Amino acid sequence: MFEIIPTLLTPAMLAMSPPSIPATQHTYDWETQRTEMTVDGQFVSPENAGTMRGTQSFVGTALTIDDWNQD
Amino acid sequence: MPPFHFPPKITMLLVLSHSEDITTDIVLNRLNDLDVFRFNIDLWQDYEWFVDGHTFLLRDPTQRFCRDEDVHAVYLRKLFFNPPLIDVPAGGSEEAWTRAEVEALWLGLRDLAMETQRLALVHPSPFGRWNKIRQMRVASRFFRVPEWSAFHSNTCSLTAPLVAKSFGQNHIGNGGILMVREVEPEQLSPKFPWFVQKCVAEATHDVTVACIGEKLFAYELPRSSFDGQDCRFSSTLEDHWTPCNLSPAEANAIRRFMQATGFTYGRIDMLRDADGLWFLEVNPNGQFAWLDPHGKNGLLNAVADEIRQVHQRQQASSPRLFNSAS
Repeated sequence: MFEIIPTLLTPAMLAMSPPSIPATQHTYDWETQRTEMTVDGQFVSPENAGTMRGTQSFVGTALTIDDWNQD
Repeated sequence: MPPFHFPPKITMLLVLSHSEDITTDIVLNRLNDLDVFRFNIDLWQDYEWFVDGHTFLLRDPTQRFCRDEDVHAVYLRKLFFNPPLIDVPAGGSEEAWTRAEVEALWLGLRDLAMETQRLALVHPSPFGRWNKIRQMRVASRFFRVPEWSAFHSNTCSLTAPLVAKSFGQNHIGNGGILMVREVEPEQLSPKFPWFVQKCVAEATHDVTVACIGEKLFAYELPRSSFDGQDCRFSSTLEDHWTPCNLSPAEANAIRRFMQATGFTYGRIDMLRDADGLWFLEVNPNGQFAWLDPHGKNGLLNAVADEIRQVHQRQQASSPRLFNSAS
């Protein structure tokens, strides 16, 4: 008989990774000081992208949750 | 470095941000009447700068200039490098060192703007730092706050149902973040520091309130629309936050709390049950554009107006309070 010893949870065991969604391609326009975005080659307006999903946003290919950024 | 040439004096908004910050794009689309210099920290190698005890000069690749004496308002957005996080050996690295030096410059400009009353909307509190412990303690004077406990070893004083939370957003490994998760306290390893809070099981909505000066913009999301406890990790791609009303008492409590923190801007996260709101946290530089991306509810215009007011106030002030390089 095996006795099943419950594993105690560590923070890493409670961690989640952001869902996999396609990264937006960004090109910075120095003249207008705006970001041009494309997804799969299609232009996306910033209004339609919002800040992507709530507090999640891409920086490069890294999906970042950046609310808690006081300083 | 080529010498700086001094163009005629202009009035300018300096935005401290990064190049992929589309919220900055959206806000700037409402400030087209202002001359803007966007200082993107992720593209720092493309800029030239000069800062000394009297002034600062910034220049981008288009030869656009930004001089200390021309800046009438500074707006702090998000300072992200690309990639945002790097592996740093215990002994440090040149890349990490360089990033820290560059970030110190950006934050130095932010601090200088605060000193000279040019920092618009998003600023550190004059009353010091507001980590979540302080937030929750002070918020309890104005709101219901779910019972919470930060503990180490087997000293949790609360009973289930609880959620595990974290004070920061550091990655735990492989890009993972400890999100709000329901836990049993006896399941938690005593080897780690823990922050848990009573689960508000009767909550029907997540509520977030963007505080733009005295203006409040409240939105809600039904908790039935996402799985688990943390709406940030919804399994659906579209979260439908919709505007909601605050009672006069709720609005008054929010304004009094914000006054206590000293912040002009904040996005307060809350829960709502049948008896009203529960305070969770305030994000002093929290994202907001996703709540009103098309500007239908006035949130974006309120942000732009706050920035423009600082700009106009400086323009109207005479003699100037800052700078000595003209």
